Amino acid sequence: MSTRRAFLGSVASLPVLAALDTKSRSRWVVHPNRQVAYGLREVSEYQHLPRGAVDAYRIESGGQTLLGTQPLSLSAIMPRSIAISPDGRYLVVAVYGGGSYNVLSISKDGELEPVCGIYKEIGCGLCPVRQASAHPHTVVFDQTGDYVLSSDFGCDTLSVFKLDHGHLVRRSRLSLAPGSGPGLLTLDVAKSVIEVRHELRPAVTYHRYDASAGIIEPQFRLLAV
Amino acid sequence: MSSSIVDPKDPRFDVLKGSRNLRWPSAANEYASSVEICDSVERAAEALQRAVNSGKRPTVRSGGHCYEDFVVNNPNGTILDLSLLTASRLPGDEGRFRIAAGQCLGDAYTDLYKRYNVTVPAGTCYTVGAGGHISGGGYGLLSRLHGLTVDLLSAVDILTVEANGKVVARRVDKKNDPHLFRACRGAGGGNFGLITGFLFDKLPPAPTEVINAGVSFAWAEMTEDRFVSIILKYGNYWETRGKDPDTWGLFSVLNLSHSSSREFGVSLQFCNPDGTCNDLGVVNEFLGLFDECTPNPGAPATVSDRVIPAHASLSQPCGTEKRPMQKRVWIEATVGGGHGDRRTRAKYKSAYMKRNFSVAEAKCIYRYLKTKVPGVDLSGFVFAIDSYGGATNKAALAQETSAPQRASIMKLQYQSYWQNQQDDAGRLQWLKDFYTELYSGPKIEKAVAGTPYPGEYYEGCYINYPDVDMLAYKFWPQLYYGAGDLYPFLQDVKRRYDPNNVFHHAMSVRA
Repeated sequence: MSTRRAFLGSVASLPVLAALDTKSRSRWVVHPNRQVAYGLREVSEYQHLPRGAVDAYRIESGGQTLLGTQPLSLSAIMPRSIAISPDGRYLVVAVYGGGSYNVLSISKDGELEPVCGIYKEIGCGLCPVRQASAHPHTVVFDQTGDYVLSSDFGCDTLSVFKLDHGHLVRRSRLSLAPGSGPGLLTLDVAKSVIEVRHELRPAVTYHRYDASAGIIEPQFRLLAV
Repeated sequence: MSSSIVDPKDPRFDVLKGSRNLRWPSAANEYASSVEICDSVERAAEALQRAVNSGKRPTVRSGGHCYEDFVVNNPNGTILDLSLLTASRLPGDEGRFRIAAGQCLGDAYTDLYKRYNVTVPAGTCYTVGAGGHISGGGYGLLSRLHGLTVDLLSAVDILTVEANGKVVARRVDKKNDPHLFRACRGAGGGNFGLITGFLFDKLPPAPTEVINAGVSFAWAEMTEDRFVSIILKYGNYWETRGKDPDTWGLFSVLNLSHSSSREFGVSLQFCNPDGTCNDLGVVNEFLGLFDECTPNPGAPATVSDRVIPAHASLSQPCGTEKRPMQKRVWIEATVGGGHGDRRTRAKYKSAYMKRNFSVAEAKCIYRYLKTKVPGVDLSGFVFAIDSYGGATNKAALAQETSAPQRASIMKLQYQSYWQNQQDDAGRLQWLKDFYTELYSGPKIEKAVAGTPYPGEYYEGCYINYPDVDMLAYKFWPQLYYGAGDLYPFLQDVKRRYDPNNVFHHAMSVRA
């Protein structure tokens, strides 16, 4: 089970957070300190500008308190996925709509600080309608916390980014079958295996991940589903 | 040799990362992480490709006069500085006139005049960069005579980023990528690609000489009635007589200041359609309108940065003692004046007017200019009411270009300048209140109240005077691009030529 899934599982088990999940807020992660949760606002406009946002909530026994909201970068509309670094210092957001990744730093007490890193993703896929541009879909941290793995639905790619002082630098990029539309990506930390569910083809692919090099290998197994 | 890439370790970085408008960037985390100096099309293409490949957002700067933070608010990104991309002749131009994106208007006028004795009807500020100015339409003192600069445009050289991330150089015109060409004729910079040059098959001859003149009025002796009378006389001229082609060589600005200043006034530039000042009938008739409004005797209009300059050195006094005028060689009048180079805090708004002011509107303006706001110094506010129309109002050009305002008689530019950050809030609020109230009168539909929404009386706003306050209105694109099919057209061009939204800012065309 991946880091991200573990966090999502935790969220689901926290009754106080269940009430937070509204139509405009999706994709949650919980800070390793278990006291703060972060939720994406999956919107195309926040405070009159084209961007989504992230909310931080303090988790308390009786409910939760909004600690603050940070806007994402300009053009970062419809963010899709959020991951928190194992040390709890950074959030990484996959911006499906605007085709980018945002990094936000987190203060010691769990409060969100402004976006500190932006990676503008560019590319396209076979499907002229759904893959006309990049659509980062899922982000997860690897077990070291040094690398962020991502799937891009629009580009048919998987990427590995190094997180360097709050900035993302691409380490490697793997092209998948054209027109497959990779979606949900999960990392089995114990086996160092990545599972990718494709959305434009009925397929799941499995890839070995080399955490020392930050490289995802081509698929070693394809499941038709 | 110093690198063309200026990063935070470079001593030039502190200067180059900033803006002329000292309000921008408003926070340290909004600064770009590098500035690349692009002095040729090839270098611009390389720099753009480098930005794309490294996941950086590129913003493009020519003269750096953007009224909002669209270029300098680029966190982690790269500013591509084109101010040295100035070559006005390139192989393959084949006798066409070229204005390079990095040329400033003053240099472009000089170049076109000295080489060919032609000109473009572009703006008055010497240091405004051609790249942004012409992308947004490009109008100025000769626009009533010759139209907008984009009306005369034959082709555009532009770098676009393909869906796969490859930078390609295109020459777009009516035959090649005609939709992108139309979008480049007025939709504004930072939307579709990086424009490197503008090409013109034919340009009008430069005027030989012009008249500068004006009238001014003392605030100390002003009454509401007199104020209303001055404004209505001014607007009425442009709504009636100013539509006649023999007046199209007349361009004027009514510069209203706050009553804490000494005076306000009208300044003008004039030449006959043949580029001479042989017949001054039009000027005398126009200035005569204000005789009964008791202007200051013989005094020139208030001079601000943008107002038509009245330099004495190379000018030749003419007219009468009561109505003094300066006759000047056109090129001197055009490039010999203000540099517009000062750095200051500033905020701007705009409106196009299809009809004269109403009495109620004139009274509203008077009230705001007379009001003293505790703790807010309103000197440095200039409400420039420019003449418009003439050759710009050829209706067919709305379809051919992306400048849809083709029925206006005046164009308003609200300009507020100040120095201290602590004055920001008071200045911004006063201007916002003024603007909102002026466009909330009885003749304005409730659904669009607070804005000069295109209709019977107004024609929206000017994209080269962008105002992010308008983003609070869902219909902001219609303010700038009209309520017709232009904005959907521009969105289509955007999706086609910049599918990854590489070029974006707060008011860019939404994908």
